[in-house]
Amino acid sequence: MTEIKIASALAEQMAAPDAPEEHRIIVRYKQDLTIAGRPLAGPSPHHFVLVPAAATRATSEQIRRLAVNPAVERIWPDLPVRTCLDASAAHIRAPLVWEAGFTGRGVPVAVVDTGIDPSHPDFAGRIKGMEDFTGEGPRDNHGHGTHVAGIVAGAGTKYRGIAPEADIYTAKVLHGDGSGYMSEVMAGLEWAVQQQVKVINLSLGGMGPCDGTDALSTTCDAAVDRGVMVCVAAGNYGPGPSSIGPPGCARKVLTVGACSNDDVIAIFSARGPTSDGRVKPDVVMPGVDIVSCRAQGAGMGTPVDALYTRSSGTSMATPHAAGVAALLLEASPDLSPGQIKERLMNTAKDLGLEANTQGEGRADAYQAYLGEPHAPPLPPPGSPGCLVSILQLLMAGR
Amino acid sequence: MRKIEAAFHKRLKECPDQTVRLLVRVTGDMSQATTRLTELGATVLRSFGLTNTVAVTCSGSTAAALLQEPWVQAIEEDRQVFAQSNGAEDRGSSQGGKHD
Repeated sequence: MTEIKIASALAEQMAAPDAPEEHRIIVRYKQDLTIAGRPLAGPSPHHFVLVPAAATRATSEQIRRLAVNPAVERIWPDLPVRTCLDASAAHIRAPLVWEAGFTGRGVPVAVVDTGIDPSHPDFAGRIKGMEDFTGEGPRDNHGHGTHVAGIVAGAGTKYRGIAPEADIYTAKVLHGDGSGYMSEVMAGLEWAVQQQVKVINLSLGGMGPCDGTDALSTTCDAAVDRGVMVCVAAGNYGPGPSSIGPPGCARKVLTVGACSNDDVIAIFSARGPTSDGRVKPDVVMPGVDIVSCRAQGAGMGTPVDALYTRSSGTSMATPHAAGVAALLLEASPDLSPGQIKERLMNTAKDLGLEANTQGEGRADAYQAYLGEPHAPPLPPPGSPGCLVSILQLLMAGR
Repeated sequence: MRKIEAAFHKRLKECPDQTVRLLVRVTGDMSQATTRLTELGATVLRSFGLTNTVAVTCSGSTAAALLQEPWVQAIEEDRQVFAQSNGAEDRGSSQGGKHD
């Protein structure tokens, strides 16, 4: 009975050879007990009123004695809470997908960019492959690739990526000055396909307009045909029309524009249509003032501290989408790239803007996970009535 | 598919001695294509199986001559791309080609 009352995580903690003298615990009491009648173990308890429980400290012996008291129902360890998720991850409701049990665990994602800082603690143990196509070595001597990789799959506490347990592959195709040739990017794409990754992030591009028939865009489409979800930046050449360049104009990729955390489209976010008249971008994601991993020795962005830096661009919006794709693939491994693209587009929140500015709207991780369209805006007051509105919300899956 | 963009074709003809970076899309066997490209005076940098494309450097006149080859499907310039974060883009634009 005593064992049943002590949560297994706490029992393990107590049994550990390096167990602390005191443990932080939460004790749950029988429902009808007054606070004064609650048996205590340690000093200065914090009593909760919404639930019959108290938080305190106790030695292992005190915990065992508490557990035999009939007034005590359960004793848990008072575990540290991971604080303050990055604002943009919360905005697209990635934490709700994590709570549902999906963190991108083991999904192979390639960041084709300026490389990565493999010593950054937020990637520890998850970098499965690094390749260099620039001749500079695979380390990130710019900072962009590390920042992008952090948004996709960083496992920090405060600044956590969208798929914090995904496997990371990096192809360095952009040089230390942030530029590269289309052929270098194509080489990185082919390498990523050979590694059998499921998602590729391309936070890069050239100037528009384009029609998607160039060699880089068609390589992206060929990767999609091989079963890889490819997320591409719309580019920062906005706000003029047809400012999306290659490979953002590729037909089969998900092209991602940028908005702020309050869903205002970034002025720099490139606009469609493509030169052959197709609507682009496909969706927008947060890409303004995004704090993510900082590469050692690189000066990219506005440093927040030794490990993180802040930056803006469609480069920052795109890995939000790639991270969501990894979450969806963990939840439903059989989804094709086309289905993931459709899911992200069909469940995006309509911002009420022109399609060549917002695509289908701002994509939402949780709504995409549910696979249900965002609820339409509420009808104006007076029509068609509260009951109809409630029914509409229910039908829309809210 | 157009074999070459008109503006790029004009540039090649105007600067026949200038070295250019090209992406050459070919039909048929890739290894035969790379051999032939070398014979024609191009330096093969990389070849891409996903799209049957070869990245080369060559003179403008060689590039123009390649257009006559029946196995050459299309030629385009191997253009630069840039990281799309605002600071990176600025740096990339101002220092484009520095690593060449």
